[in-house]
Amino acid sequence: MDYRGQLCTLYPVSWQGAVVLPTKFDVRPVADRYQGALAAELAKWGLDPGMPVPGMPDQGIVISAQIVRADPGSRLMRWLFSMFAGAAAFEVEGQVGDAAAPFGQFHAEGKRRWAYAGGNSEALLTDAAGQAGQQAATQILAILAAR
Amino acid sequence: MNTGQPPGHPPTGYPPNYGPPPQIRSRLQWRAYLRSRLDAGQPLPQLLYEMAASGIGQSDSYALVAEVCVAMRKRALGFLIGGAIAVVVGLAVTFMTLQMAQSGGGRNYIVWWGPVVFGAMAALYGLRLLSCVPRVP
Repeated sequence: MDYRGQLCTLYPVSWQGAVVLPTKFDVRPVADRYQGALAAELAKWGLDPGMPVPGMPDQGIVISAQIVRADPGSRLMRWLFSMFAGAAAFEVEGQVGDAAAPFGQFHAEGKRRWAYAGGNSEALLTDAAGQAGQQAATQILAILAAR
Repeated sequence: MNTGQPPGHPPTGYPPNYGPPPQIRSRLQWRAYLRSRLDAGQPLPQLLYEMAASGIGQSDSYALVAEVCVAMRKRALGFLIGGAIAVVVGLAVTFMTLQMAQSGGGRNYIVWWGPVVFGAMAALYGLRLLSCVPRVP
């Protein structure tokens, strides 16, 4: 499918109702990474993602999402059990539609399970968010192709 | 008309044209919430009360809790069984090589302590996880 130049209104990901496990760092950049990865992946396929403009009707395809879970995991558990416990996970769900109504839903989850000596939870969660963004974009494109 | 915010402002997250926004927590969010709270040792009745206060029906609440319990139990049993197998394999290799060394007149044998120690830790972790899984009435 060719989506070149097709406008796409990408709502900022919502934290409403999200389960955010305790972290020692600011989790907002994690959501930014998700949003960035999603926009970059959509742009790669020719879509033209943009923020909603207050007071103006939504343009083209409308994508909105909310965070389900942002879990930095546990460095100690990753160090002890490597692949099996303590993974950093970022999960989102959302809707794809046009200006009138949604016509599809997506659910993406990014997980980072391994890093040397347990790794840095912030970096792993950020990577997981990027992975979730790419996964969400793939699902959105599949929804658009099936339509 | 949307009320979307420009970058840098608090996100709105939901297009107003789509009608009323979903419940404060979606089903997936409730599932993640329940799991995190049960893992942290919060009593089930408190969570059920919280769900009832959010307007979730009793049957839906129990269905959600049952789903979460199944997932938690599966994970706990994975650790418990996997850990136990690792311990058994580690001990078996150690004693087999010890016996071979004794009967063959050799002096070298393998003490495979890694699977024994880490398997035991995994099994204990599995037991701890299993203890957090509530009994659903």
